[in-house]
Amino acid sequence: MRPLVEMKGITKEFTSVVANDGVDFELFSGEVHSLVGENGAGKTTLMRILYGQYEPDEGEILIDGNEVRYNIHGAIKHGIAMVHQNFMQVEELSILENVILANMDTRAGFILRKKAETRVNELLVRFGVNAKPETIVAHLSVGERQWIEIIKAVYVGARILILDEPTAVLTPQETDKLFAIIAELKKDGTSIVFISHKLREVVAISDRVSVMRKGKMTGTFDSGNFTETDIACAMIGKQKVQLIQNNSDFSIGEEAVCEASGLWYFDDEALPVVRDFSFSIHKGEILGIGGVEGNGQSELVDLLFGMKKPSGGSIRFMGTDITDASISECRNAGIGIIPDDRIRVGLSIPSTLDENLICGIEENGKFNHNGLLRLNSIREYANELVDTFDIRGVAEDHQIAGMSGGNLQKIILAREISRGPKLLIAAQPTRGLDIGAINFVREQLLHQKEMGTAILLITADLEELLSLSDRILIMYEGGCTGEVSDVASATEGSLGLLMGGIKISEVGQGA
Amino acid sequence: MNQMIEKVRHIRRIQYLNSFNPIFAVLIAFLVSGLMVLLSGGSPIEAYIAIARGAFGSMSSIMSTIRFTLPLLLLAIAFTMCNKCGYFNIGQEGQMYASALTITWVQISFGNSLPVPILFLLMLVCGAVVGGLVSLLPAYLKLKFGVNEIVMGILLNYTILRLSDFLLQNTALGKPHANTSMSVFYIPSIPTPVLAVIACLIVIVYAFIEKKTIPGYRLRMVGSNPIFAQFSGLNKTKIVLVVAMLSGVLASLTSTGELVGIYKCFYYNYADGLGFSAMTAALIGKQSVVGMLFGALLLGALQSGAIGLSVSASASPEIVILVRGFVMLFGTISVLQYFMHERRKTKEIS
Amino acid sequence: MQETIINTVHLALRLTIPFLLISLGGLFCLKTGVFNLALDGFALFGCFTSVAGTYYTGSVLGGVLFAGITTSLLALIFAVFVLELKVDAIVCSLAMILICTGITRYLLSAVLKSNGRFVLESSLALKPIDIPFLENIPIVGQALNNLTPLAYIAFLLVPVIHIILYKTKFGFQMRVVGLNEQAAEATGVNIKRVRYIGLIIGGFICGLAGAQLALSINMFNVGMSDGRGFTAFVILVMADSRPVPALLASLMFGGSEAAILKLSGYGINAQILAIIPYLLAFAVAILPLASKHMAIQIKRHFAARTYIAPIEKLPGDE
Repeated sequence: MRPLVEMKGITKEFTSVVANDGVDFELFSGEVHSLVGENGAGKTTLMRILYGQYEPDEGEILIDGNEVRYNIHGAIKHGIAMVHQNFMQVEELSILENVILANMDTRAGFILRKKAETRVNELLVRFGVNAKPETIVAHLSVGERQWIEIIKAVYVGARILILDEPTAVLTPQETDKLFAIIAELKKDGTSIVFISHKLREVVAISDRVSVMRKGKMTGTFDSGNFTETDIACAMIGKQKVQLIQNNSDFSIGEEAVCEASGLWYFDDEALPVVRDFSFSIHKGEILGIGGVEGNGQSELVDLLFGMKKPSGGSIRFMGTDITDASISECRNAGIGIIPDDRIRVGLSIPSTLDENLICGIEENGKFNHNGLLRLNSIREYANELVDTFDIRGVAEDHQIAGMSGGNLQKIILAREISRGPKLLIAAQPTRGLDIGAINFVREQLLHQKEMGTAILLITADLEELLSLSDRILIMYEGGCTGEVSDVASATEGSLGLLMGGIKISEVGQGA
Repeated sequence: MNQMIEKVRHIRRIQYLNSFNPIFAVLIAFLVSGLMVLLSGGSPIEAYIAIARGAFGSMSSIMSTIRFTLPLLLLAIAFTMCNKCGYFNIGQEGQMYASALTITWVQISFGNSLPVPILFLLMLVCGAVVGGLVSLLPAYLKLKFGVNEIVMGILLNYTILRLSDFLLQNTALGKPHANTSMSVFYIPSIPTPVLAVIACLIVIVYAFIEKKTIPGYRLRMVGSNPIFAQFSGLNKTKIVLVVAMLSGVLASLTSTGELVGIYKCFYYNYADGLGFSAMTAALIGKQSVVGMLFGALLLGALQSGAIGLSVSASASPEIVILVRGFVMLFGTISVLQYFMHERRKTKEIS
Repeated sequence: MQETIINTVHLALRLTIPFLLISLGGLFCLKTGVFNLALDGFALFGCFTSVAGTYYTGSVLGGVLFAGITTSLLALIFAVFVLELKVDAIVCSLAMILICTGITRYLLSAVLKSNGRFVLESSLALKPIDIPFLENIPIVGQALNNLTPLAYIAFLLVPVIHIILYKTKFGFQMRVVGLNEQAAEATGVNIKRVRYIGLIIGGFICGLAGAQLALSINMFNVGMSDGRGFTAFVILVMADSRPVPALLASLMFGGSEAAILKLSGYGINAQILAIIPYLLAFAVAILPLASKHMAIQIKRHFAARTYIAPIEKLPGDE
């Protein structure tokens, strides 16, 4: 059988990074073909090339056996649609307008709205989305917006549908719904490319799996011929590397480091993003906060270090009330943070390593002499941290632009840990890192735990949540759906129900 | 590892070449404007010789170049420090007119009762306070409500300009029975060389504060990533407001220097286009102190050269404004980097 | 009395036209997300080229078209710098303003051989047209009659642009590009093309605005756009780049200018009146955002009362 799509020898280079290096990829009609690999392996780049968003430096694309060159507009004409990881939707516009954007019927340049409205309405009913075509997209939930993306693809009559990490923002139950839809589309003859790094999902729905690593295709497995382990090995490139687990028996202190009670936060629409959330965290304890992203985790972090002021409730830290404290008061009191977005929040990329390390403590006598910066001792301090935290690829002039994600994360770790925090908030601390860097981060966190630091671990990765936490709270729509104190006997399934908003009383502890 | 070193070298090379960028921009600007002169039947070479003579030909023309450079340099610095922390300060002319009105008021109210040094000091202080407040207003509204500071700045410029027209014509601030709107004369006076020395001092102090001190460090951090600065505990709001205020103070000092040192009274519209020229100087100087020095010098020389051009008849002096516009236009693109990038790309493919 | 009102309204409409035309031109830039601050320069350039065009072709229509086309070309240069060479739009705008000021002054003396101003024969003015059926409608019709053809075109453009923006494919694409560039790109909209077309159309309309300014008094003088482009920019920000609100805001500025002219005849100081539209603009620029800010605070306060209070009360009540 001739493949529907053939990509041959695709090479794509960005400024000094080779994202795709001679990659071959085939897609047959009516199959679900998964594309897996670590972050930065080049999956998304390859698919953006297929979608016409990037032009390959080398290589050719054949559709129905004909060599083609096209841009996005052309890709849509060829029946290719892509659901991006962060939605490509215009929030201010209605569902209808978003759906018809890629493909609208016009007469003399005028949009034929009535006809489109009927079809969009049909699709909304078919995919079980409880909304009208006129509804503004900004008012939809994340899950609903995912269905709108798929409706967009179906509306343009896509025969090739690329889904880029579609389950990252879904609960396990919503994921099941997505898989049902995929099965339905497949029955209609649509070919689907499913990008993911969640192996369980991949095994469940794929006809074929292709594995990418460091910009190269390392293997393709046919249905029935693979297990999760096979794929994992191909992804990592060597025989299984074990991720570090929290096996420690270090005693958790009695003394509460931080206590939050009844925290509320209302966003600009006056909707409760954090609702009645309480927790207490003790010396030497890793408290994991799980949940699908966008359920109030990032707002909770902002409340804890003074970036946002709570609308209700109180926070006590080491016995003092810090509910209304400023950011610098919270930071000086001993709260360290590893933010979830290291490029936008965690570092100042245009600045030097030194400048990044001393920000917030520049008035310390070590760096400050009557208002003048002690540039030499700052440089010394930076060099010390580079050695201690094994930060690599530091340029001679200490510019950090161009360093790898793992090393940037090490800079943040070095800065936060060297300040001797009593509470360390780690938000998605290993996101986008390779295995080596993940283990480094985990090691550092566990080391801090041994030293008696309380660690608040916020992560969307269930594996990480289960491997590191001493205790787990799950956030759903800003509230807490349950606490799991017996982490060892908890499963991803039971956590999944909590993540979908089913309360602990209905699930049963550790079921 | 070799790749990394290669990459760093490449970045260095681009940075090095970038420092020559303004020179190329100026050359292209002169070339394009020259073409314009040629097409309209003039002689570009004669025109440029006349400009050069007007700017550097004699002691008095050099003095005049310096005189035009000073306000541009100070305003460029005032603009840059705001721009570094994310506040696009387009309202400098409004700040200058507001402080000009204030010092005129000081002259009217206390001119006869106070000794000259104290009168001058009072002028400086009152002008600085008003200039600072006018600059603070858009910054505050931006931070508090998200009002667009460019719109606010433009509106403030117009409002204050028209207000000064009204006040100069209808109140005691203005000189009665004058043909144009102008104010009464000021008693204090400073000679131009003193102004030059003060301006140089301000530039050196600014450069030192920006590079070597804690407040300068904070300004740079807020500028390079405001979210990170805030996250690290710096008080972004306070820093931006203080910088906006200082920038207004600097604009007002410039205004006072111009009025007291050079014009001796306040003409309606005396600072027309000064704010824009200062922005040009700042932007072609890539907002570094040395770059701004050259930018301001170039524009000052052009302005002073325009006088030379009006004496000779080879081309009309308006060509100078055109050159200024082209310098700004070409100064903002990294000409060299653009070509380097293109070359690199073709090399890789082949 | 009735005569005075009609006169004032007529004057207000006349003074509204330049604001309206420039802001409609600017709308095509701002709506697609290009922060074009150079509207004043474009309008000034249009003033000059319309006069030069009329002078050389000897026909008013020729001058108007010449202004439109040359200003489009200028907008095209702006577009190349912003879209291809990735120059910051604000910086490029400031450069454009300088260039327009310089080029009009320079060409005035170098080509038209005059200084400060250039006056065309009065037969080459853009004359008001008399529309008989309007004459018969009392007050409204009389105020609306006897405007220049470009004025009627400007008023007609408002509904036309409204329909283009909200009913046609190109208008829809313009809005999407302005709202969310990435989403537009991902659905195959050619962003650059939309912006190029927007800027060129915008330049053409700004050129018409210049023609209206200069040819209605059959002369060009240096700096005759007099900051109207900046006012138009403020109008656009206030109107969120929508045509109908832009018309209303333009009427506000035109109306207050007319009021200034009329009232100064009654001994009220003209300079102080000239400040009024700017104060109004301040209010319009600040108040919506400030009240939105207040509304959020109030909404939060009430949300806190409805959500939090019941929960905190419960233990005490029981």
